Amino acid sequence: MMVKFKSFLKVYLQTFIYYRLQAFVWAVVDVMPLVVLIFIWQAIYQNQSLVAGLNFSQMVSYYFLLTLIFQLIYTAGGKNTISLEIYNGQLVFFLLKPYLYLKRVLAEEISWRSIQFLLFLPLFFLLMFLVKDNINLSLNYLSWLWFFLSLALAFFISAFLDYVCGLTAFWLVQTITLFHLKEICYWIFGGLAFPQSLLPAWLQKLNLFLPFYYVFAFPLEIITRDFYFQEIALRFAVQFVWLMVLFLVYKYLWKKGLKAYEAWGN
Amino acid sequence: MKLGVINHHLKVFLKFVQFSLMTKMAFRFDFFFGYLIDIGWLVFTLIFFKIFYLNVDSIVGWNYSQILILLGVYWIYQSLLYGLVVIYNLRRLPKRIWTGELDLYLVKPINSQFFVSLKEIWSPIFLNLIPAVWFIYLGLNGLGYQPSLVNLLVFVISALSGILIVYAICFMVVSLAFFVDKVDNLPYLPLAVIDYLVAYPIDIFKGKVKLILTWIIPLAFVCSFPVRILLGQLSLVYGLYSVLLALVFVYFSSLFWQYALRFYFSASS
Repeated sequence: MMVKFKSFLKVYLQTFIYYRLQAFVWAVVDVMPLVVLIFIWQAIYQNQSLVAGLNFSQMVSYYFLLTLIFQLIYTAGGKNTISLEIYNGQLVFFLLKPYLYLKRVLAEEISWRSIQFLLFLPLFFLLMFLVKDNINLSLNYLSWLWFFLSLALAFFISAFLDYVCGLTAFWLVQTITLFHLKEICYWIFGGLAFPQSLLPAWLQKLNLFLPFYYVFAFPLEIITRDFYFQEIALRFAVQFVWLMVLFLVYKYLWKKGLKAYEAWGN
Repeated sequence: MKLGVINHHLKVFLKFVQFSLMTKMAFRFDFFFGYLIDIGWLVFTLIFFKIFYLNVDSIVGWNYSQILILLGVYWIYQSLLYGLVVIYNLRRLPKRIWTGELDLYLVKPINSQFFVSLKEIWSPIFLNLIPAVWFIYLGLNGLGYQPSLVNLLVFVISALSGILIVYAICFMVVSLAFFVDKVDNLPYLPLAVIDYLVAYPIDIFKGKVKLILTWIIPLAFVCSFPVRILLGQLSLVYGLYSVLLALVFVYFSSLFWQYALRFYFSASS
């Protein structure tokens, strides 16, 4: 099973290296809004030392890490691969192959992420140099262990949420609206726009039960703030539950979708 | 440029708008879904600034009402630039260059830059202007300020000039597709940088960065300066500067386009 997955990875890595300039452009495009937000906070903190309990160093650390996490976690296979292949009938080609479609999509996703991440690293180090005096991260090894664990779960939540949106192409003429809605939810609830502590208290509580929080905001909070053990355990449990739910929804939609699917020509 | 030539291009542009509307309205579902997406992002931007102002009193001296006006101007900029030029035209230009489809644009008896930039229009843009104007009205109402007719006129001229400046910059970057291979997302590069720089007051930047963004890559003239002209906080002579800068940038984009065309090899369409 892993042999096929490794073969996919190798093929896609070779393909995407050819498109390295494109990957670099996406890395810049993805990072730009977060960098500009640092400038905004710098301007705001000239008039006040704390915003929603966070000082400037904590805010900068948040966005600094967010640029890195975004490159690792964000997935686009649902829009760029799954929904496109359903619409243009190319899915039939892959259904006839002796491997799981999900395996191929994940391999493509991981390969593209890897190339884009490598090309993003020089920008990341430049950003680190510019904000190094304001980075304030936890030095607790346990925090970093929880961080990488939550990051791994976050990647799969992001992937399955994306793929579930992509699979709606079996029934919907327009899936682009769903993808845009997902983006907006990431920005508001997922922590892309601002730390969760800026949201009203009731919205912060609601957010703990939504999947978007567990994609970007939760891994970031592990490193930038302190948690009690019960708090972090509960949030990991919810993150894991969301992963299972999204995986099951994916399986269900895939099975139902294939029954409804028609393609011709090609 | 002769008046007859301008008149001819204007008539052609109106035909582009007519055909685009006719085509897009044939798929009403798509048309309204596209508009829904735009409204979704506008609502998000409003929520974004609302949450900011729950936690801070002002952003570099700009209060919520002033930010609403800025948001309205930003939305007008985005709607017009993306709707007229980016979505169906500049975004597809790199592929047209690589596949040789550009031939069809170059042989027509019309300015090729005009044709590749404005051939197809994203129809919901005209609907997008409604909430944008509404935000500007709400902001002015919140400030209890009524701009004079002169300020209003110079504001409109400077806002449109700002859009032209960004168009020229984007066009020059996208024209690099003549020199680089297979970079489909080239149009997104200048837009991602510029969109986020103009969406906020220019005063968030300091020193050399602010100077560069005001006079060298004059993004301050896109949203921030028009708003300040409208509110009577900036001299009306900046309206003249914006027009001059727009003319200079568009002229240079035209020169660069003519230069880049020399490197175009048709794919024998």
